Amino acid sequence: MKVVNARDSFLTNYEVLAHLNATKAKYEEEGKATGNHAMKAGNLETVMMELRDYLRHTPSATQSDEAIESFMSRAAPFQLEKVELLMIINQRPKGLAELDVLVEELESRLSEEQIEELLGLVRECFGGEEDGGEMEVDEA
Amino acid sequence: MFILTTFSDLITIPPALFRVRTRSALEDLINAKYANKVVPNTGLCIALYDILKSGDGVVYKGSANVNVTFRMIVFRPFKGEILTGRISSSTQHGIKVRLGGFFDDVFIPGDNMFEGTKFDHLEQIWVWNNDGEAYYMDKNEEIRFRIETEFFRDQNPRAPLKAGETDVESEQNRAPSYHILGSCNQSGLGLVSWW
Repeated sequence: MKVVNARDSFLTNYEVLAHLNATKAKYEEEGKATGNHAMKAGNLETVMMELRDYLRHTPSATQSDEAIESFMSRAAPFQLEKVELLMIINQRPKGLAELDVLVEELESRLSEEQIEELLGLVRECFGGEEDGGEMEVDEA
Repeated sequence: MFILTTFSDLITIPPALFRVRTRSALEDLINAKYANKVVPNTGLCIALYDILKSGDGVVYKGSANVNVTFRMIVFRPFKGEILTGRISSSTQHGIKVRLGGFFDDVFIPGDNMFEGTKFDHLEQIWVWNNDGEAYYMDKNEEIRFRIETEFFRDQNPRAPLKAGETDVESEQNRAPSYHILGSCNQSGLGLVSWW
């Protein structure tokens, strides 16, 4: 085994979830043909189940290709770093405090209006409030 | 928190899999070898993403040996990244956080929490005293934290099981091969419900 490139590229949680769902669908399709539903490797089955369980409760569960693309193009004027945008997509900040931990030196880089605008953009592209409540229900 | 990592490896296809399409045999064998395993200094492998290149394969001792270059989805948060998880347990040294079921080894030491956070020995939880108001960090609460340091550890070979000891017990006593130290001492971090 050789690691050719340790960090080929970053993935958003949404992309990971989409890949896991596609893999699962593919195995199920193959399973239908042979009558065997289980995945071939037990360790893959375990980690996929646990990871989908985690991602289901994150904003990634409600995102789409279009939403992320439109967010990326409209967020360009804010000149944020790539990893900052990645974290915003993964974390979906709802308020100033949440955005402040994701973006370094937020208040010196963006004006108050720009921050409001950015938070509005996040809300518009990725929605929000409603599935915060859903999680509480899951917990009960 | 996830990255793509390119690996190259020699994969051995046993004769029993010769009737399966080579591509899907390779996918299954790669997943069986890597999924849910920690590769030192690389991270926790999740699943195969795609196969970039595979060689012709050489038959040796009855099996086909194929050189494959492929990309895996790997869990490897970068230093400074913000993640959310749930508190799985608290001790006087700090808080253990788990990310769903797939990663349990995040630890937030007491020193890395807000100033004024104390461990309540009666309740066995950490409490943040902020200007006279107490914020409790209960078990299973959702917590947001920053990645500070990561540790990889080479595992020693496992000793034979003692009489009466089960495989699970010896597994639990092992130090994790990949664990992460976190912090939550900036506004916006800490329990998600606080902000």
